[in-house]
Amino acid sequence: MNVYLTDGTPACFYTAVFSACTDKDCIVTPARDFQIPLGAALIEVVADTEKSARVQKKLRAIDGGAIREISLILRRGCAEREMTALEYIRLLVERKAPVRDMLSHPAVLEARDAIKKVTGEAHNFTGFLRFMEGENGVFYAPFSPDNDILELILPHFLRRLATQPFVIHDVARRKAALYNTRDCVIADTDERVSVALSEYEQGFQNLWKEYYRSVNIAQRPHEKQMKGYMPVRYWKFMPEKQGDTK
Amino acid sequence: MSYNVELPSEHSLKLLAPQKSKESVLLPMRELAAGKRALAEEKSKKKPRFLPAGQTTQMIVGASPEADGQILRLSQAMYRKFSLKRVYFSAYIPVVKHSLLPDKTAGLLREHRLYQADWLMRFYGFSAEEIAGEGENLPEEYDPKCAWALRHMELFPVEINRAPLEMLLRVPGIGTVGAYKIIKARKFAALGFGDLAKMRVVLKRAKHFITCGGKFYGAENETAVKTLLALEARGERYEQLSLFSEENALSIPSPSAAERGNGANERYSLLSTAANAESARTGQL
Repeated sequence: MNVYLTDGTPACFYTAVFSACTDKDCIVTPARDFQIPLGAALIEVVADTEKSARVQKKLRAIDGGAIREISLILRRGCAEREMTALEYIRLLVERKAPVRDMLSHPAVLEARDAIKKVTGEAHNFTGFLRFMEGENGVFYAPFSPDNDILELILPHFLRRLATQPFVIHDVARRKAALYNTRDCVIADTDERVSVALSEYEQGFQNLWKEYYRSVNIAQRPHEKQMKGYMPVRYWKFMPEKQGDTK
Repeated sequence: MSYNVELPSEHSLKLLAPQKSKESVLLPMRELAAGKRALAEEKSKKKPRFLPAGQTTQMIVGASPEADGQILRLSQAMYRKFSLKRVYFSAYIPVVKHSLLPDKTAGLLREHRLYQADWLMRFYGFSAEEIAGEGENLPEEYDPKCAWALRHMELFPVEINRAPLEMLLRVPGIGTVGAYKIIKARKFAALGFGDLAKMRVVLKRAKHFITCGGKFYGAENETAVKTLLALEARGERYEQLSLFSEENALSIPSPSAAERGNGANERYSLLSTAANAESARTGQL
């Protein structure tokens, strides 16, 4: 049994697929801290542009839409995403035809679920994402999505805030999209980023917290319903929820 | 764009909304539909947008004595003639006492059944004649699709792997998405009961009407099916709250009634004050 250790990037994944596709019983994973099965050989995979290009070329010849679907699966924020993508690729190579309609096949079902989760979260965040005005007039939006959706929501905000410089910061993955009304750049950030808010923003946040507190009806706490509408893991970026433990 | 038909027949319209006439509503709808069709046929590149969101209409259900069958036939005719996007139904809720108006509300369940029937006509290929007879109301205990299937049990069970799309759409519990999933998936492999469950086709009702590879997993006979489906419907039944006691018909509750409403009370009961009774008689809010 071979265990291919990738570094989490798509290029490295396709390099691993080059060998892993025909390797039955193998595991492809970016994680470094898991129980190694007995008798397993660890293989560290280094991204190789030639191998990765060959794999992608072959997949594109089989199914034009497959690369996009696999890149969406690889954005999934769970440990099994490489295996889901690998099973999907194996099925594609076996059938030599598009497989997205084989809805009774478990690999296709898993792939569809992963894609739905990623695109669903991206769709939600185009509505959820909140911006704060910084002292220098740049809008700052921190968020921590379950899946890697920064690049997926970026086009929406580039159109929406075309004349406004902004920064969208994926806190957990430590990357941010920076826009200055001319160019957009995706950069890595430090572990902790603090932003000085403008006076207007500070005043507005206080106003918002006061409004939230005054509109609340203490005798009708619908905790479960509230958490169903806005999951607790998103509360840390909402000013009106700071100081709430429930 | 909505031209409200208001009431399901010309007779009721004359009675309850005499300032509107049938022509004043239907003529503009016909013209708009014709205009849209003419624009669709035009082949130029820079076409102006004409009514891009389509036409809709609305009617009040329960204020007049028409049966659901008649309402559905009217909706069907409007969909066909005017290419409407949607027909909206509004359950009548009595606000004012009048000799021409009924005392009781039509009930939200009736509105819900009409919307279910409307969906069947638009997305499932049903015709109004199949759903309900001319003078009939839609059944309360079953939704229209279940009711149709129970009336036509000779067509069931259908074999999932062979049935045409039209028959798959008629199975209670299989919606448009489920039917398309089945059609796509069965090209590659024969589908079994477990496969359907994995594909997230809801089998609670569908299992009485389908076979998977010849195997049947539903109830033994027709009466058992009827009981099971009716029981299920009872679980989803709406509880019709009554906003009005017998004496008066004003909609604003007094503060003490609202306080009593906090807690476990599900029914409002309005205090009958002299002012309320006076307003009810004169029809002023």
